[in-house]
Amino acid sequence: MSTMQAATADEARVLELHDGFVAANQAIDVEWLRAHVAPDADALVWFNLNKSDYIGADHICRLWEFLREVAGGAEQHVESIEPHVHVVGDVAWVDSHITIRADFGPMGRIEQASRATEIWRRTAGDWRMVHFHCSEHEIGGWEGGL
Amino acid sequence: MPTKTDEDAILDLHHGFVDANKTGDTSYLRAHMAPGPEGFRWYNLNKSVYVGMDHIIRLWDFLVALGGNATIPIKEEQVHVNGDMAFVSYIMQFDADFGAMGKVSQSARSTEIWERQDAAWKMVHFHCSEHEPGGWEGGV
Repeated sequence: MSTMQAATADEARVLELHDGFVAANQAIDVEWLRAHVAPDADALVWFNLNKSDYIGADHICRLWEFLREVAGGAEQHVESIEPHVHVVGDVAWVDSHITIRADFGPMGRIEQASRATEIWRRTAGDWRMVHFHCSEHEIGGWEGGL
Repeated sequence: MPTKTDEDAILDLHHGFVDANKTGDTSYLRAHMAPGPEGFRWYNLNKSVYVGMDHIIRLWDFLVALGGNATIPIKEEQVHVNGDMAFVSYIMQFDADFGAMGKVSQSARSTEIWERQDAAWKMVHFHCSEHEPGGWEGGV
């Protein structure tokens, strides 16, 4: 659960979606994902932590279905740290740090600190994720990289 | 509906940003980034985070002092404008020579987020990371 204090009802709703998204990652909840990403074929551009890209809801749901199967019910841990929520009109974005400890059974384990950017768009009152970018986080880059 | 003018403006800013990266042109950053030390997280290709304009400019000044320069061909640009927010996603090939600190040759993905503030578009977030097609289930 995020500790950030939302200043507006929209920020609170997007923070709730962010928390739900993190929980869905931990549970590999494909149904939650499909219900909350933009449904059109090419409306979602997803830059995944595995360095590859997934275009559209079907593509990323296919990956999650694969991960759910290989995980075989093993415990996963996904935690969001210091999410920052920004809402301007009908677009919102969240930047955060996410730590992942995943057990994908025969495909191996992953333990990774990462940086994440979510972009959400409201259409007919309904927020949907339209972009996600997640990548490795490593402190110590030149000139004081954090 | 976004106007053609807004999309054109974001596309121009995006291309200007890519050009600024080639030479480490910090005047571009000063002109087009949201000002202030707070609220701007720059997720750099080197996997670290830079917070606020002064921090990323310090990195660019360091790279310029090394004689750094880069070629950055880009592809698969997507520009989206909704009211006063816009974002751009794209793929790029980053080939840089940082002199004594070595060379970098890497395929990468980038996300730029822009917000219209007092009638001017300002970059409010940037995220760049390594790109490697071939992930499970047909990652591209």
